[in-house]
Amino acid sequence: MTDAVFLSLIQPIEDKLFRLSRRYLISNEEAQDAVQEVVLKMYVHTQKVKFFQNFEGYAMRMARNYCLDRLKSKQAATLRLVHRAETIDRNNLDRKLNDNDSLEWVDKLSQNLPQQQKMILQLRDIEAYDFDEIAKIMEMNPGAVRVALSRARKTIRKKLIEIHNYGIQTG
Amino acid sequence: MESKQVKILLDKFFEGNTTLEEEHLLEIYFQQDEIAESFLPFQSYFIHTRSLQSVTINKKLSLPKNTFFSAKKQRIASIAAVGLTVFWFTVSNFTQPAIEELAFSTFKENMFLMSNQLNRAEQDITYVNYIYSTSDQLKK
Repeated sequence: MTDAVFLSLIQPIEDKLFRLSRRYLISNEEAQDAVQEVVLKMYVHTQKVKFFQNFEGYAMRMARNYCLDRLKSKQAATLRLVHRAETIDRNNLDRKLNDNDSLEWVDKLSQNLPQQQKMILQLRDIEAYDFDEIAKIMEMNPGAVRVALSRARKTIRKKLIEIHNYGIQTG
Repeated sequence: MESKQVKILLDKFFEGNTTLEEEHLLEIYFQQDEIAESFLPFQSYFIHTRSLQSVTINKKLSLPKNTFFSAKKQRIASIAAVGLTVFWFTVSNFTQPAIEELAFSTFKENMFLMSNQLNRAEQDITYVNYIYSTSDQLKK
């Protein structure tokens, strides 16, 4: 595969890879490094493999696995610190901002979901992948993906209704 | 889209049964300024997902520098290197005699010298014997 062909395949999905990595690793810089790493790995891999059935799906799965490895590695302790700092900042921000700032709430709610549900929600509602593609990326079966997605959405629905009702009662 | 239809789609959405097209319709509906009161709690979710879709990496990614010496070229170069090494060994074996061959030729030369010396010694002994026999005849 020539460099030009590789770039034509990787460039349209760079942002998707970034958003997925950012969801896992929280920090923008960490996510950028993760994408760079995945791009390099994919580049090396494309020199060996002439044809990909699903280039995008393969890259997304590679990004997911890379992020999981990063979270498991020694540097995970640092990432957890970044994560905690981010949460503290958000808490402070929330106190400063209006309590009914729904977008902040939605962000917080989706961050607090179990990791698997969080990633499935990301892949479906933000990246608009179908269930089969999500199943391949997450290495699950499509039925389980559907169940996890439903649970995640229902959790968010419940919380949003609670927040909305609380806003109406106090407002 | 009518409220009744939105309600049906939303129920399907939370069950995880909507198609991508139906989800797109919901997304469009919730981008409007005026939506039914009962759906207000969910508007923020669809606006939030739309805003996340526009997050970009904002960093130029780089490919490995050795594009000139790509993996394919590296493979060809390594095969050529192995071929050249084998060729060099083969040629050098033809032009330079092995240690065993050198030892054998030295041994052969030494044996030749030794046989010459033995031949000469045999001749000398023949002369000595001839002198002895002639002197014995003279004494008689």
